Amino acid sequence: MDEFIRVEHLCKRYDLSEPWLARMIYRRPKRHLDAVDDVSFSIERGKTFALVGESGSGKSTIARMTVGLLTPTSGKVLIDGHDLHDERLSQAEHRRIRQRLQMVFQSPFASLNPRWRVGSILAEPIRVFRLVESRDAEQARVRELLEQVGLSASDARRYPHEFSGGQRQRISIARALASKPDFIVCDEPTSALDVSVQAQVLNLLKQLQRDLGLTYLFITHNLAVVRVMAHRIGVLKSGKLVEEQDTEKLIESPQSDYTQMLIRSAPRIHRAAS
Amino acid sequence: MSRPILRVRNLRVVFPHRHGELVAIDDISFDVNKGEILGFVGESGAGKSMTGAAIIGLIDPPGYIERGEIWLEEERIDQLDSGAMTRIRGDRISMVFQDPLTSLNPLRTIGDQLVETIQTHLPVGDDEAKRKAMAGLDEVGIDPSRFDAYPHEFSGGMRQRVVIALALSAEPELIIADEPTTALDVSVQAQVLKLLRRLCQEHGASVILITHDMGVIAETTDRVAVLYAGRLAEIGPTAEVLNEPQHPYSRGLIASTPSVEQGDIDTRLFQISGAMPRLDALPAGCAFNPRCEHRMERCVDERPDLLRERVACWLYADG
Repeated sequence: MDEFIRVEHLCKRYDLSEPWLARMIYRRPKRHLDAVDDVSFSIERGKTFALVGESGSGKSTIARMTVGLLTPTSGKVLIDGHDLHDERLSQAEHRRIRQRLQMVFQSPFASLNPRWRVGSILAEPIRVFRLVESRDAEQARVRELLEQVGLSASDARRYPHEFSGGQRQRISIARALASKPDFIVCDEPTSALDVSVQAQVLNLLKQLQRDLGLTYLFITHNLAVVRVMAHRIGVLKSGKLVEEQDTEKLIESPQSDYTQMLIRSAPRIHRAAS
Repeated sequence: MSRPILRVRNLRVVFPHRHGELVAIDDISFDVNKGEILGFVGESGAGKSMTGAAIIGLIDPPGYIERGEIWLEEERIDQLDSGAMTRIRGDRISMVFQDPLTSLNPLRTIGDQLVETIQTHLPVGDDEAKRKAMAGLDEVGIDPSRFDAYPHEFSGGMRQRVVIALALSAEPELIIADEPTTALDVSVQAQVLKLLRRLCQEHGASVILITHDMGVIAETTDRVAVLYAGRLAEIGPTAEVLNEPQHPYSRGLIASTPSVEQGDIDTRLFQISGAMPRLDALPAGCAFNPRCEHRMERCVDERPDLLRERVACWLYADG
């Protein structure tokens, strides 16, 4: 098994205590919230691992820790054997790892800078990581990215507000691809989209995975989406991984009560038939 | 089940605008029968919420009902003045919105809000109103001892139960529920939908359930109307529409919804190309024609009527 990312005993603990003085006067103890509590999993290269769970289960917190947007309280994130949160790494080494990690966020309305043209949005990661030599090469790469996600090269001159939700999510995906990453974290990438558009975006993500050999961490609350997107699924509840299994096995014969409940509550279109 | 309590005929809602007007709802007709749950499904901008707002008289100006009639039993309600409409609203028709946090007053206890609503609509004294409010809470599965709690002390699902209790408190004949479970987790969604269905059966109230989720439609409604770009694409009994959708858009919508029951990593989801047109750029003829696989010449020129009382598509025209 060729494993690309390994998450070991990941914890994120938030301090919810009252201020020090209030604690001293009223003799209150410290209070903590374990948003992520000892979570471990690994993802094979070129495969998709999905984390499912309800709101507040810690899905997005894990997503942010795996790309380095949040620092874990304890535990490790190993990317191809390198510890992402190792403080001894030099800045250059950090950059090299981070270039391989990208993220697609839930809301394509909030995650694109409204004042920038699409071309600049896509060029930024290319420049930051100094991936090309010249301006011409940069523009060529932007055009290539747009076409890769099903937009046209001329869209580079337009602003985000000129696009529909689905098209904006394509722009977010193109931006994630710009640094030539190996690993993309998709945090509810289609939950803000209409179903007919959701299908387009999900198909695109799968196509890109096949073409570029990408590894995905897919975060969602929708078990039906996971069924067609993920090779393997982890079910989260209150920050703990309650079950981890290959997709089909998990959905056909869930072991934990919580997973069974989630699958039972998923609305089914053809239940009306039976 | 037979007598319609609400009849909407040729409803057309427009928004005047610098370069002419935007037609948000174009010639929609339907009935809601007594005790029935009618679903409205469609993508953002299809006119689902606008139809609900038109019925309850809450279209934001400058929008207005240009044509059409809305009948609540024997009373025509689309031309009432605001005083008369306020009495109908809450009394005979009530509304459940998507976000339960914004539809409750954060500064007042839920008990207070229930008592106020009950006394606004029913001629009862304080004690009787409080008793009714307690019974209402009990009915939606909230412990009546939480009568004096504030909205922020409840979870999202519990808040939506409070809103449903509020909506039912004046014993309305029709409830318009606009995406009532969209902000909730699936497990909570299932509970809330079940509750809504049970309460309507017990009270004999009818419901218009507005949602973008075909799964919710399948699990909850008796009949369903599929809307597209402000027009009715298809309407019929839920099981028939879901199992044998006729309009190419309904078919596409159902086929592109992933299912928890089938499919695997190699499944390619059915996709409808393109996106819904903006209201200021509606194509001539059938609004769906640029995205339709079965487009004929007629579809580009001529807008289809609702054929066979079921589907607005030229594929089903005789001869």
